[in-house]
Amino acid sequence: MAFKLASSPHLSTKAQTRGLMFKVMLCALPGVLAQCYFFGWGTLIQIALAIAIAIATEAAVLKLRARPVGKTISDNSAALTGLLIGVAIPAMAPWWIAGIGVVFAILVVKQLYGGLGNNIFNPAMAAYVMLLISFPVQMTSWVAPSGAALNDLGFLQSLSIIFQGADAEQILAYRAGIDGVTMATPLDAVKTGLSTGLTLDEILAKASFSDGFGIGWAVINLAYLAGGLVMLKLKLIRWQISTAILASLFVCASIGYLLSPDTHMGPLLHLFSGATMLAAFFIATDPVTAATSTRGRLIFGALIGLLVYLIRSFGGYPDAFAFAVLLANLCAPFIDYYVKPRAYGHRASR
Amino acid sequence: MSQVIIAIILLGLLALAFGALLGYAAEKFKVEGDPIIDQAEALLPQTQCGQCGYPGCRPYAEAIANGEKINKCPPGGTATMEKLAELMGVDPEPLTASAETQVKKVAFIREDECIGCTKCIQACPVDAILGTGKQMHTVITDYCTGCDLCVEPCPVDCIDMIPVGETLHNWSWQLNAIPVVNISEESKC
Amino acid sequence: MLTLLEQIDKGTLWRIPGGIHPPEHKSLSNQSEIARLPLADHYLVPVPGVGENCTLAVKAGDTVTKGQPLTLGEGFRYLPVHAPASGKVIAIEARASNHASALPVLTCVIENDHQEQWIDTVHAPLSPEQVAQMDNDAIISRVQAAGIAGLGGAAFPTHIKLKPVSDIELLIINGVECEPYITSDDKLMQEACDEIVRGIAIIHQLLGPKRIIVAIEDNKPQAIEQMSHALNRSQLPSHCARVSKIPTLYPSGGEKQLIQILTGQEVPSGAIPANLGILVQNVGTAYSITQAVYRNMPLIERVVTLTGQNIAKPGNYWVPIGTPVEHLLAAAQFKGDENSPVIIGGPMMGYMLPNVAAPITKGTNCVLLPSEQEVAPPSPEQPCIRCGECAQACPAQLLPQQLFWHAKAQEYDKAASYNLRDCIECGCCSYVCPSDIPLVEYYRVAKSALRQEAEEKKQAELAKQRFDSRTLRLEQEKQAREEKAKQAAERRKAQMTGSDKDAVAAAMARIKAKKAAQEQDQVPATTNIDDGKGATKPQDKVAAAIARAKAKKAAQKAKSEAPASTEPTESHQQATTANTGEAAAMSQKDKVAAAIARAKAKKAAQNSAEVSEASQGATQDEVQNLGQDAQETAPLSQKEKVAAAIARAKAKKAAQAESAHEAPPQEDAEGEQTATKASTPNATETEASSPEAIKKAKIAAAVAKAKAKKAQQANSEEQVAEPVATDEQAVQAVPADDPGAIKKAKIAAAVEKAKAKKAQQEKTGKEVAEQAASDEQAIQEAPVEDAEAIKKAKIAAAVAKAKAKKLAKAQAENPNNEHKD
Repeated sequence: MAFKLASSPHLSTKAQTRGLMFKVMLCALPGVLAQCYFFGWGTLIQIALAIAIAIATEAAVLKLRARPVGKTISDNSAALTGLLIGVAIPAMAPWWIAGIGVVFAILVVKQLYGGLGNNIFNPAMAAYVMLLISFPVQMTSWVAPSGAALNDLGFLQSLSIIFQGADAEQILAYRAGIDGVTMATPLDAVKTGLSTGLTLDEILAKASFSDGFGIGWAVINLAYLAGGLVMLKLKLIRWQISTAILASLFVCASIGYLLSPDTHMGPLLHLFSGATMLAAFFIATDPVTAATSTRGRLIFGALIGLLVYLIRSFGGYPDAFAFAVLLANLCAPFIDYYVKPRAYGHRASR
Repeated sequence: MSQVIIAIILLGLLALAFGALLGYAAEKFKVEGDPIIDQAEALLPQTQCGQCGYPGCRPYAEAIANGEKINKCPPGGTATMEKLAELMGVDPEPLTASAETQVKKVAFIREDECIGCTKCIQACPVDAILGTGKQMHTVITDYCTGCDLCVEPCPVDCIDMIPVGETLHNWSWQLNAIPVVNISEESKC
Repeated sequence: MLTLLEQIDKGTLWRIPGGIHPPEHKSLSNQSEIARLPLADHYLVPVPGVGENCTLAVKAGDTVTKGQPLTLGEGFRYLPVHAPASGKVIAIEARASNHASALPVLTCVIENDHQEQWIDTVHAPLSPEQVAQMDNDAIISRVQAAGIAGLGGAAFPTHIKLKPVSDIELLIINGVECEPYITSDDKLMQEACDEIVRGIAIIHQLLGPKRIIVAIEDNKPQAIEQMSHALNRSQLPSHCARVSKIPTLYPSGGEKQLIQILTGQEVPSGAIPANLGILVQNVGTAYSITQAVYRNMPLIERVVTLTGQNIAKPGNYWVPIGTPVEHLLAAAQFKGDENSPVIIGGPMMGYMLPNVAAPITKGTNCVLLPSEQEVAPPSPEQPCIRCGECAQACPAQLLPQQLFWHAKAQEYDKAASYNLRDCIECGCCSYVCPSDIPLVEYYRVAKSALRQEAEEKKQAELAKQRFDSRTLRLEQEKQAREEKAKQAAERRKAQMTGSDKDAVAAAMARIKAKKAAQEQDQVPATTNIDDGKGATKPQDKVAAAIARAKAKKAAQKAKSEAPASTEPTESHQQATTANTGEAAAMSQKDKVAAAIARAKAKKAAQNSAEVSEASQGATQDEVQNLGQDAQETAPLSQKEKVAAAIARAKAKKAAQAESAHEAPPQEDAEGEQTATKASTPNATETEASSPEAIKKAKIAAAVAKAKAKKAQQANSEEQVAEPVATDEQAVQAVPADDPGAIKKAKIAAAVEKAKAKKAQQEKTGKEVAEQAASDEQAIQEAPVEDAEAIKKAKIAAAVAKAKAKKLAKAQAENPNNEHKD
């Protein structure tokens, strides 16, 4: 007999890792488009750049490790990592930010640990944290055009800014000439505002929140939420992690807000600003680095929500998802070990 | 001065307290015997073959506990050696025996050649050979540990060590490792 | 809170975790009635139990009738197999099995004569009233005799399940058939619902369960309808039996899953449903029970689904058990080539058959012949991304990704800690895996490795037990022996009154006195030899010659004193004691053992001078002893004598150890004298003694002869005619009508011959023709008509040959080390 003997089952779903990853990327599309709308061409350029570097790096490393290059690349996991880094870094950041981040993510965080399935940390988030710590200025320069100013900065202009290293001052000057909008993210603004002794209401009353800038972030979050819901519907991800993150963040934020409305952001602001939705649906759900059992995922998500709240409220960084996800990644094996489901035929007493 | 005395008294009390605690713990969690020997023995295959140079598995386990090398048990194979290495906290070493000796075998007596001398019966460490003087002997396969000890004493060389074959019971699902032979060509029907 | 039975009556169903919905493909095979295919010319009935709990009832060449049992067995676990057709058993040999490995198993090959001649025990159906009057044992013995095994796939003997250890409250008839493609139970329920219900009634009669549930998936509406009607028509109490429609979900047909769906209970890990008071039987099994009980019909055919796009006539067929799969493929027009997979069972749990010559067995419910579109060749495995889909799909709530992780790393004990053994191998995890990892295969490998490990552990435990008890036994025997030896020695001391004994005692005393003298002044006491000469002249000469030879040898090897060399002697002696101890009852064996021991002692003697002395001591003592035996015969039992001899030998040895360095030649001479003296009376007195004594004498003579030979080899200049003559005398003295004695003589002669050969190899320069001649003589003197004796002699010769071979090998390896063999 020439056929290869295979163990049962002889049937399999058509679902493949490749398709799964690709669909996840498609589901990120609404959020990406929203981001483009608010931040200009830079976002798209960064994403394209990051994906390209990611694939190139992965191919190079696989070659070095003498693994099948084509087949592994085609599982789309490197592309997804690139995409996530692309949307996470500021639209007008210089090109080498994306480059360093992606190379770090693929080379160090993923392949050095043994490639897909063996990494402990979420590559995109690990890279983001690395960049944030190493290049704080570039990583926080969210040059934020107002909705109306979307097309002010053309594609080529964006390209030249990213690649020719126009420093932030220039851009700022350029931008300031146009509409004079500040460039801090809402979370940043709140953080700075609170640290200067302003109450939340006062901060929110400031111009940056009123004329659509805050709205912009909310829209982006909503777009990612929509994409996430589609993923849930397609069963690309399970509901536990996202729900647990959002619920946990909501609960924590509500408690804080109820206790001290002046110094704590409200739960809605928490949910719809920063990277909340992106992280809850696209980053924390990365199966490789998350807990696997149902209960484990709930705990994992709740942990992330709690950490995000704590860091946002009391930590030094305005946004906290990258840190929270990495910390939770660390806990995932631990969680998995202790929340094994009760197997069939084993009594609950353990 | 009184401070010094207080300090000394305090320290003395502390020492007493901890001493009592340690003494209690030593009594409470006392380990009977040397568990390492038992553990090592539990890992050994109990063939009692003496290929390690010791007259049985227990003596070898005792020797291991006293620092003997862990790679002297051919019947246990590499798996046993690795477990022993883990138990003793030493580095695994290649076995002293060749791979060929690690295949599980059982003794088989060619019965028409057996003269009934009972020598193999005396040599068998696990009483797995059945027979009496001048009567044909045979090996109880289920009890045979494959230790090889009966082969040497046989005056007529009628004992073979036969590798244990693969049966439906011990087949290990190595699907594509099976040498697939097309039996249908050979069979007559 | 409702009780379980109330909930069951209400039709409550529970949910099982996990499960999948694979495409069903059932319409491929359920469109037609159950049909029959042309009969095969050969049937292959595996008889795997032969050698375990049964024996073959037929042999190659026998004619069998249809339904005739092929094996005979006893015990409750025995499950007979039957001839599926009348014809001739043409072979009983190892053939490919219907197993994923296709390893050959013992199989009866039956050539079908197409006469369809049934065995006459099958009778017309009984009436239900008659069956109702049968007692339970009769029913169960019929089920057992029919060889009914679970037809759902596991093929566990049904009669065992029908005699559960605990009360059965709930009987579940499994008509779920959740695997894709398979429709055999579905069709059977539609076409033979009344028979199935009759079978259910029989089980009801046996076990009296409180409730009976026929569970059928909701994708089989016709079967549900038919079974409901049949139940209503039946005699079963209406409140107790019902059909339960369960939602379609794979693997709800698994026994444990079905129980969970119907009762919400879980079978504890490692337990069986009977522990919960639940019995699950397949519908096909119920049908077979009806056939067995009503008609005494053995299980020789079953419904098999032949399906898949690679076959022209998919459908359900009554197939005789033992039909080769290749015959089915031909009959149903298999469209694939030899590379197309043939799957036994369904696509989820079935296995690919490596060899289509394998037969259909009792557990084969489906042969699936899928095209490449249906079952694609396995795609290469990709890395696990820990998506957890497998854990969601697992009906046993295991963590397949963790199991996989450990199984792949071969950390099987860790995999076991994740409850690997609770895996039912349903395949849900592999089915949903986006990385195409053959998870189930990993688990199977891990499981079999674990099983093997457990098996080895058990074996090791057993070996240890047996080793320990053996050690204990040997220890006890040794003690007992020593005790007896002590007693015997005492008794003998008390009996030492007769004149013969006085002589021996005197000799012993002389030896001892001499030794003492030697110790004191170390002066070679040549006068002692002179003393000895006075006894009998020819023997004396020989003795002197031997003594000289020994002295020479001792001188040669005096340089290399081997302290360790006493050990072999000791061990040989132990061996001798072991021999004698083990076969207390057998005097013959005793003697042989003694002879062997002596031979060994001899061998050891060759090793070094020191040992040669010791062993000589031993040997001569034995000879003495035997001489005594010959004279006294009656009062002491064999064993005691031997024991006494050994004890004495030991004493002697101890004495020698003291004076080992001092003038061995004299001592040797003395020993030899004594030996010869002892043997000579034997030779002369045999005629008057009993046959036993004659035997003894012969052995003694043989030993003497052997010694003489050795002496001859050691010093070829010496005159050897005399000892040989003595031997001849001894042999001739034996009455020719005593076959036992002759046998002994022959053995002795053969042993001697072997030694001679060895000696020849050692001392190649020596003349050996003489010895050979004397050996031949010895053999020729035995009555030729004594076939047994000849055989023994031959065996002895074989032993000698083997030894010679070994020696030759040893020599080849190390020419200098020629004494080591």
